[in-house]
Amino acid sequence: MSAALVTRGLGRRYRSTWALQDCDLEVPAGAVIALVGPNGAGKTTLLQLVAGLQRPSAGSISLFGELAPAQSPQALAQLAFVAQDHPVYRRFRVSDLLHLGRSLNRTWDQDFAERRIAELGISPRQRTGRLSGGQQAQVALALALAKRPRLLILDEPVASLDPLARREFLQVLMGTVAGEGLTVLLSSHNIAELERVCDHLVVVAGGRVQLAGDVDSLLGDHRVLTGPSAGVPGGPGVVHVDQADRHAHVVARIGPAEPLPGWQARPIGLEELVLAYLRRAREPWPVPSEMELSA
Amino acid sequence: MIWVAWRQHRGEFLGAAILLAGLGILLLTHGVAMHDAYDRLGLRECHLVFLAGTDQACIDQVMAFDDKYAGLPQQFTSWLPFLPMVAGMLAGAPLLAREFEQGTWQLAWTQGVTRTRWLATKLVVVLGVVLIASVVFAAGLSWWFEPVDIQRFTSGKFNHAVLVFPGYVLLGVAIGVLAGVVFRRVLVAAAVVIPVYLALRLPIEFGLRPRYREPLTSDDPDRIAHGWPIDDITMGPGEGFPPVRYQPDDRFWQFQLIETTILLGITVVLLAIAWRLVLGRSAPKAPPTTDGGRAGAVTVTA
Amino acid sequence: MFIFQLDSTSGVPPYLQLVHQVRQAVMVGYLREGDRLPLIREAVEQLAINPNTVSKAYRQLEHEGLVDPRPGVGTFVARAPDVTVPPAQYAKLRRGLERWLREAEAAGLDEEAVGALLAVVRRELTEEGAA
Repeated sequence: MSAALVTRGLGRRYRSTWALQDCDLEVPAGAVIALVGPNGAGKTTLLQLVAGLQRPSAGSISLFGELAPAQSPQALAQLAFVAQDHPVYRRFRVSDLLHLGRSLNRTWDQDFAERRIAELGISPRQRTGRLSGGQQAQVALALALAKRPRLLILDEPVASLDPLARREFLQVLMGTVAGEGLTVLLSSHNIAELERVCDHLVVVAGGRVQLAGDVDSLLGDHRVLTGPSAGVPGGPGVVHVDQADRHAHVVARIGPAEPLPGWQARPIGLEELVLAYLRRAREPWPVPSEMELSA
Repeated sequence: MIWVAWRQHRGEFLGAAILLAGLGILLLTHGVAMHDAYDRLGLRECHLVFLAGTDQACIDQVMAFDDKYAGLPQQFTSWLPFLPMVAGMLAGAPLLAREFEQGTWQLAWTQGVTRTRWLATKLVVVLGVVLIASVVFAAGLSWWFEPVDIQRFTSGKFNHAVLVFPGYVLLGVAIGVLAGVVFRRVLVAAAVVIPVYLALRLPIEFGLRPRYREPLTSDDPDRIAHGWPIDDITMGPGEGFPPVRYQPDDRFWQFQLIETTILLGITVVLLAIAWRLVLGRSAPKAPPTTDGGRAGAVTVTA
Repeated sequence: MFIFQLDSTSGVPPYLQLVHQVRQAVMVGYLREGDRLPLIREAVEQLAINPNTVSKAYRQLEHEGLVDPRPGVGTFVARAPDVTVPPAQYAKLRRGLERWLREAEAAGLDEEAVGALLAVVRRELTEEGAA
């Protein structure tokens, strides 16, 4: 599989603070990548950098194998972006928005756009400012998809939607992914919702990428170990330790190896995995000893 | 992109068109009657004599004419200088601030046209429409004001000639555009236009304008009165006319050109700063979020 | 057409939930030989899930020999599974379980205790079988 997006040493600084730094990512084409992290972690910065809405302070971005200078026509033609709260021109009618898409893009699928709007039961004469949040999100998505992008970037696409609108939005999105082999990069708070839709995961906290990879292999690599608190293992594989009086739970990246004698291992869920990395980012666990993780 | 820029500002354009059409009708009906009376009474000759202040019949006629017709135009000249400021607040401030405020800049900048073209088209369309409208409006005003006073060099006529008036309108819009880029909020940007416009306009109009060229000095009341006297004229009974500094009437267009050049110069500088802020220094800091309270929380439930 | 369901709180990976549902449906006869499973795109739109999840589930079912993909047409149920339960026997087993559960409830076992008991007994049985 070729890479849709590669970033190298990517960083963005606002005056003296880095909103994002040392970001190295490789995203295969056709993947659905979830970008997870607390607010202010740098998610929006990363998405806007990739979309060319901001210029990197450091590092580089390449899209589909080509170094893509932000805002170059080549880069713009390949991607579509739906910002947080799916902003559209509120005084426009829906048909005006489609006219906008048609006149500003070289590749534009008017049939698709009109069909989507019709499927949504929205009149083209309707003013976008009068649409419900869910409808507005769907219109913004239709506008992005009608551009026929190879990479679709969505910033918190479902955060402001009610559960039904959220489901409908993801149905359309995933249906398009299945049909077109589109690469999707989306950020979200909602890990449960993401688990269904994403196959790749990027955890961001404190302006740095904490974890990135294929969801299945990440889940396969990590385990929750439970054992005596006296012998809590250390080493680079330890992600996070919850220590009780006599026993401890350790989230560790040990692959399929057998754990140390006296320790029980169980598989980890996506939520647990993400939380372990976010907690680690907040207060890095001091490595207590040099004991090996696995026997 | 031209269509998009047009569509985006159609509302403002329509509002301005209605306003100008209304003013135009008022101006035309009043102006036609006024011009009519002016020609019928042969007031041009009288006006010339009036300046010398010798023919009582003429003085009475001119006074009567002014009483009947000059009130409305004079009212207009007192508030029209604020019209460019209003244009800046209504057309300039929202131009970019609304995009930032509503987040639509992210939609616009991820379509197929580059940011440069996007910005250039928006500016050209809006400034172009504003320019054409203000030139036409200024031409109408100049025609309207013509019979009110025989002198051209009064502030009322000078401010609304077809060069300086559009110059101030463009300046007002440019202030609004830059304020919109800096403050990213339509209301804040519109509010900022007021002090900035006044801070630029007042020194130019009252400080610089009399000094564009070294004034002449004369004691010929006819020449002085046709031009623009700089000094106050104080004349005691029985005294001759004192020598007074004045700008002669034939410098009118020269002064128009000089002031318009200054206005356009400032306009260009303001727009260049706005341009650099939008394009050069890359994108704005992430727009202010309203969900600060959720910071640090990662929702893990459906 | 067959309709999938997903429980995002169960902790079972989504692809496995799909696999289980097809297996169960075949076992009790809701899916019969020759029936077409939803196309990947149909399943994806139904559930709002990643297409890879569906194709992974179908690959596993194919690997088990339960389904048969025909390129360009769809995925079809290939054959009856090794362990088929005739509906009558299925109903009988179900009635037995119901009776047992009522007894357990009457004896004061809650859901968790029932689950624990089931797990213990099953492990013992497997160990017996292995020995």
